[in-house]
Amino acid sequence: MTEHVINIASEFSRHPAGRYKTDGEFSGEVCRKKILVPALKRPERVIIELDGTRGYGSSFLEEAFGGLVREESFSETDLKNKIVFRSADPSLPEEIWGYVADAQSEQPKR
Amino acid sequence: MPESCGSSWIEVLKALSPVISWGLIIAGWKVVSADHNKRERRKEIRAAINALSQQIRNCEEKSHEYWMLSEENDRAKILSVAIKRDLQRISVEWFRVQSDCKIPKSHQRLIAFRRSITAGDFEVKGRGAAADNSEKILRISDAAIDLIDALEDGFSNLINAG
Repeated sequence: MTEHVINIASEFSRHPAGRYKTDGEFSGEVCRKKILVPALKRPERVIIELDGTRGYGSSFLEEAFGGLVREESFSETDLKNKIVFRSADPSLPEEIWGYVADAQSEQPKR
Repeated sequence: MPESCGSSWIEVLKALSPVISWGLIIAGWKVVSADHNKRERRKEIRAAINALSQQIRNCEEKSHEYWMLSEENDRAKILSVAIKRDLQRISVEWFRVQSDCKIPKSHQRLIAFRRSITAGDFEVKGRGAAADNSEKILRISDAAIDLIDALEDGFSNLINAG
């Protein structure tokens, strides 16, 4: 599988902040809709580079990644097969996968 | 005959005695030097833990101040940026200390600390100010204490391991 690399700092913002679109143009919701969803619709594996920003708030991460399950109908399994995180801080991917799992567990069973 | 055999042993020991003395000196120096290096390394780790604990407490204080202000307050906006930067630095230092100490390679306490501060309505418009005895404020302090305790436990394990 070929790879599509997304660097949040250079392709979105060095200052990601907020949860909803109403919180600003660099919020989790905007990141999800503008960057993550289009990338996930491509056939390639998506490499997400988290380094280079001035830090992430959990509200941003939850809305951006947990929202993929809650709002965009991706499943946790789809995302685990599709996304690879690159980060100097290994706690960030772990935290993100926790939000994805939480969002999945809140979904009604099909 | 036994007399000459005994004296030949004494001769051999006399000849070897400088070598044995030097061997003992070198072995002794190596033991002392290893102990000294171990003590210095522990001092460095202790200093790193103290500095990191202080960073955690500072971040805890800023977080309390942030949550006790409403989102539209300009000071809250400045604090939110500072908190994210602090959390990033704490992560870097945490992983450095974790590799030096015998802290379990789990990130759960670090994640719990970050979540206690920046989850929910962090940087969300319309957020109101929290009371100083609110659950949010208490949860941040609990997570900070847990993180510092993990550092102290790791240092104790390092000392106990010798």
